[in-house]
Amino acid sequence: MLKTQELQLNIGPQHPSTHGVFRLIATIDGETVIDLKPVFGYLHRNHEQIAEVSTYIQIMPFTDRLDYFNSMANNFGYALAVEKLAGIEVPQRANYIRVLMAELTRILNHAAAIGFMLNDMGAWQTPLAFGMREREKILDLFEMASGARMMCNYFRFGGIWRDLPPEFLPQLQGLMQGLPTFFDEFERLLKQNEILLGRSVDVGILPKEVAASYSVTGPMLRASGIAYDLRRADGYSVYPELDFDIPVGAVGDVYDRFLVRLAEMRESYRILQQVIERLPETTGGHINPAMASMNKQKSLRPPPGDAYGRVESPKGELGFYLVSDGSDTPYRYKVRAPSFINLTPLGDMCRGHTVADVVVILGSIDIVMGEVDR
Amino acid sequence: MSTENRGKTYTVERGATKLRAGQGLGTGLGVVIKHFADAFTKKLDSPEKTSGVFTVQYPEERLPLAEAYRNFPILLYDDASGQELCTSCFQCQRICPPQVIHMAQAKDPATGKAIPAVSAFVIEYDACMSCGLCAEVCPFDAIKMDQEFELSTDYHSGLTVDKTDLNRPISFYEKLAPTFWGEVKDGALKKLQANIKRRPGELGIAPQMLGKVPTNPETAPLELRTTT
Repeated sequence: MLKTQELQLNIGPQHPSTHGVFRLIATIDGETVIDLKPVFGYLHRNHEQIAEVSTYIQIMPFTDRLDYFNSMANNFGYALAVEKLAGIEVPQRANYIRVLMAELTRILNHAAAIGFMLNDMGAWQTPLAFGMREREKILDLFEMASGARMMCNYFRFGGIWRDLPPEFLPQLQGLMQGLPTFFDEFERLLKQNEILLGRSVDVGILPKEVAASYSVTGPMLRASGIAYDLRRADGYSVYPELDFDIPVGAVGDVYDRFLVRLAEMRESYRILQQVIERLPETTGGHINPAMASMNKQKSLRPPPGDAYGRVESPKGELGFYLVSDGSDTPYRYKVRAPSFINLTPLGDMCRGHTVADVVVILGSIDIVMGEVDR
Repeated sequence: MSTENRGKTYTVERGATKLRAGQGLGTGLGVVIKHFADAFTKKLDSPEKTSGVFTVQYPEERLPLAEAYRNFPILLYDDASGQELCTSCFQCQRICPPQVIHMAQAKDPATGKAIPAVSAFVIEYDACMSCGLCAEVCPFDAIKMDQEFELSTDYHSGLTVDKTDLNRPISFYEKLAPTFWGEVKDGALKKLQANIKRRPGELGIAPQMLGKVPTNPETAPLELRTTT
């Protein structure tokens, strides 16, 4: 009889399919993965420790660099945490602009995430180019409003940096005209593709119970069938005033994650429509007048206590935990990074699949190593 | 919660997960072929379009930059008098998250007292993260964000930039960001006029403007010296 032997296979840390510097130790039996251990920390940048010696406003640009795809969502979560800690009110207009930016971020993240997942399946660059094209238009809007495409540093405590420039809304409306065409085309390009179906249907199933026990959040959790969305569950900012549906998956496989992301882009589009409609009637400036000067921002000394601010970032629940001792730097600062927590059930999802499937399952989680390692 | 009726939960449509071979591929390929054809005939030049060529032939062709676009900080000086707006108040040095701004305050040679001018100013461009907090905090509008992005070099220490290379005339910044400068112009120039009076000799004059502009008297007026 033929004798077989288990083999340890290192994937990464320098590997194009690991989305950054990420290492997988796979134990394989033939082509089948029987155990998988993720190893990370290669991109550790001491974010939390740096924050403990920085003033509150100095941390804002560092949060851009956590999940560098969604700097607006990161700013949002951190600003919410500090506002909760210091008891700062946000005017209505600022809130609407924040939601506008957060939803644009969601569209660009999902467009790119689907593209990268298809890259991992072997559809080299074509779907990604479609996603990146739309992302580019949104990044142009970010540059117009905040001054930077990716490292926006746009949010301030009590509002945002500047109001939208006059040329912003016409360009956004142009983008909104094009987006439904993009969604339809993207769906036609991919949804019923036999190769995508073959590679993703029933691959990497994450059952409801397992997902919940790992604290998985975001599109991953919703694809597993749990309709948990912080925009609905927590109702932060002005989300309670907006109509949107929560798409959930039926099976919890890679295909469901792909479909949930497609559906979420359409829901974000609906939110954007409502925000654009209401934006001219909003009251209050772009920032709370009490916090409008940079002097107030930099000398912020929240009262002793702690606060947890969280947002539904495109990848899941992004939380910032702050402990203040009354000084101008936080005593303790902790980030609950969705990429990191969504990555933990990877071993469970991959067991029994082939090595080629591991790459696809990893792609479907949608991780950014900058956020995993911090 | 009252938010319950605002939207529902629905399960995504998985569609037929088993298809006759080639049907889905054909549909997808149709999309690709359409875009392939459009790439020769159309130009994607406005945001509502979704097909056509959207890349430009850099560096011959360039896309316009937004007014708010920021890259690295620069220092401003007045076109006519050559006087720098910076008074070395250390606000930008303190707020800089990666701590790459360094400066020294100028001293009156006659009295040894600090005067509102900067004698040395260094920014490490290689570690600057372009957050723009320095420009935002500056009470004298002396430090602003430049839009120059073609700064790559094979000479690493050249990225530690001193005052001579950081200085730009106000007219340069006004051209980059007319609305931004318009908002602060009057206040900034008024503060500058007050500060010039307290600067003796060549102190506070941009290095590249030395010799081209008249200098102040060697000692600042007595009544102003005592207030510093």
